[in-house]
Amino acid sequence: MDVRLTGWKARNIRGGLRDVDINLGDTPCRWTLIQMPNGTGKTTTMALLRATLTGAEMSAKLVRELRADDNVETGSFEARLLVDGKSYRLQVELDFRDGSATYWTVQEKERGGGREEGRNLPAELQGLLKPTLTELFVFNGELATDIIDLDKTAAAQAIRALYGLDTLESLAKRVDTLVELEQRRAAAITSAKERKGITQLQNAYNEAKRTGERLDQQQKAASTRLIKLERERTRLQEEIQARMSEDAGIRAQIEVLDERQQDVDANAADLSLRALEALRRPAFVHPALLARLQHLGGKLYELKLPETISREFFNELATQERCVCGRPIGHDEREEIVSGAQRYLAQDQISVINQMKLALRESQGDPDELSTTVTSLQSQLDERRRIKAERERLASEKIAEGDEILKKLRDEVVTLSEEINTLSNTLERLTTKDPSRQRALRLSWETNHPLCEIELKARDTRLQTATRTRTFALQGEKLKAIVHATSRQALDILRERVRTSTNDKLARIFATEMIEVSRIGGGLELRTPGLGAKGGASEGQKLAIAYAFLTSLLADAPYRLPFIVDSPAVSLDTANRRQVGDLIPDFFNQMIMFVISSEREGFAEAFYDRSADVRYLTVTPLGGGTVDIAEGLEAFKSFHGREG
Amino acid sequence: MQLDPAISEAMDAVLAGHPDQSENFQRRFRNLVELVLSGNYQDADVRRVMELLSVSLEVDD
Repeated sequence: MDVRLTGWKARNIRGGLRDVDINLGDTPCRWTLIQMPNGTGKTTTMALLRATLTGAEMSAKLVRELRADDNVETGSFEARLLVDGKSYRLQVELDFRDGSATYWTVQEKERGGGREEGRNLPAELQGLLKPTLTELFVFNGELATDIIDLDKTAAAQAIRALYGLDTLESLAKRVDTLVELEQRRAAAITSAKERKGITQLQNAYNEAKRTGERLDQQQKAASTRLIKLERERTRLQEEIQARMSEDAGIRAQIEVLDERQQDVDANAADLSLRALEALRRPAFVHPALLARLQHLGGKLYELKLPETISREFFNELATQERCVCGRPIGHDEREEIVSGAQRYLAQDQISVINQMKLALRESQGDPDELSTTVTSLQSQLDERRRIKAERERLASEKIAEGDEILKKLRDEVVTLSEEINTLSNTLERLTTKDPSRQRALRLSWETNHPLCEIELKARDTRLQTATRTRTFALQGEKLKAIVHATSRQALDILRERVRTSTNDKLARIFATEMIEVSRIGGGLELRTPGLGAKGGASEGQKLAIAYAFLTSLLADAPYRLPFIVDSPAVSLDTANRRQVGDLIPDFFNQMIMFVISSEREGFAEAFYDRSADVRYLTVTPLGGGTVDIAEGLEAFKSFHGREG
Repeated sequence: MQLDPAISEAMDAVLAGHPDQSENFQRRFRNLVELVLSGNYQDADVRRVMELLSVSLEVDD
């Protein structure tokens, strides 16, 4: 990504910035030297360039301090950029009355351009233009000391910011948010998210599974035993029947009972069907229910529900020129009628409801049908009990006459029946799905198989959810660790790369007293080759080292940024100025330097030989906050400012 | 955006320390880093990479 500054414009700003427009052109020179005496707005321009680029919030106090004078109420500053050949104008509008600052972005392109509030730059650049990084290329002179200060972290921060390592580490926050979201979703099912909680859920699941297996075994054993006992009882009952039939008198009575039994069974089956049929037809259930249905039908009829106006009426109305009331129907009215038509029933829906209404009103049937059928069914069941009692009586008489074999057979049937009853009860307890029976028998998941299956499923869901949540959280932790390790590793590699490059430049700057960077920690650790660690450095040395570091950093960066600097050589001695002036310019695609006249010697002179691609501007104050901008080397050289 | 060689080198070194992770994860992770550095990534990109990581549930909290 290549970023160049093509100019800036100030309006009603203090110092010499009441009305300044510096235009560096669509293809700005590689080096621009702007000579401005102190007090003509160099520092303010630098601060406003930083603010405009970052879109940083400005306090009301700061905004008011930028006011040119009491006669102006608003002001503005605009920085013009070329980003990979595309033009952007970053503006800040200042209101000195309420101290507000509003940022705007103007993008000039054929389609989709225009002025938008806020910063609207390519995402990559937007992420890059943070204050930490902007201070590096719109260079804040105070950083020179901070970069070298080992107690500070300016050097490491600069590397992190420029290579996006901060952005990379911000991924950790995104991961945390995703994990939190997943845990919040899972919280409705289970609060377990750590290993201990999952172990508890696993144990609970295993417990339910074991219980299910036990109940299953019990059920199978009881069913097998029940089938066996029922077969045995049938066999014994057939043996009893055969034994009793040996007596001709009893046989005749049994045959009569069998016939009665057949009739009763047939009647009971028929009546059961009739009772079920009656239950499905409300008019046959009870007189009170029939009366209520007919009443409802009558009410719907009286109220004329549903309304007879159908959706079709409105749809048709919407196609007319005039409404039924005579008023014309325009576009808006037509839209409203069509939209409102959806609230009304369609013709086919009205028809269905009217059929229901009619059916309700004309409900007919014998309301005593159900009760009559149930009474008849009851009498057939009584008859069945009587037949059974008579069979018992016949057997008892035979036993009383001394038939020991029959007695033995009957005793065995009784014993078997008792066991069959017990087993049936056990099976019901194990297998019933009927909630009312489950409640009546006080069954739980530990004693009833269907309840156990429900419990097993619920515990499985909780376990799966917790496992999934925990897996996701562990994946998040692992991703964060890998990202952090990558960032740390990259920082180490970049530190070494920048250090080597910095030392190459320092070797050219400090020809006499060699200083080099032994390590980049938070700041730059210096040493004199052969003498070990260097305790202190002069202001000039610090600035030279900072330049060497910055140029190394920015020159190798993934982004090509302009380097804008205020008074770059003012604290350097003449020898170092020449070295810095000779060395630094080649590292940047674009360099803008605000200089004062005293910096011409040594530093600016280094550019005089670079006749091409250098632009010289000289800003002269005219009084009243206005300035004159002179173009060219002659004006630049001949200017005599207060510092000169 | 072309990744800076330093970032690529760092990723290579770190991923080499995780031989248990799948090729798919490694590829997606590199892609995610590129997206993050270009300031153009979504939650879904992060989630997809996370879900590709193999982890042991036996790890203590």
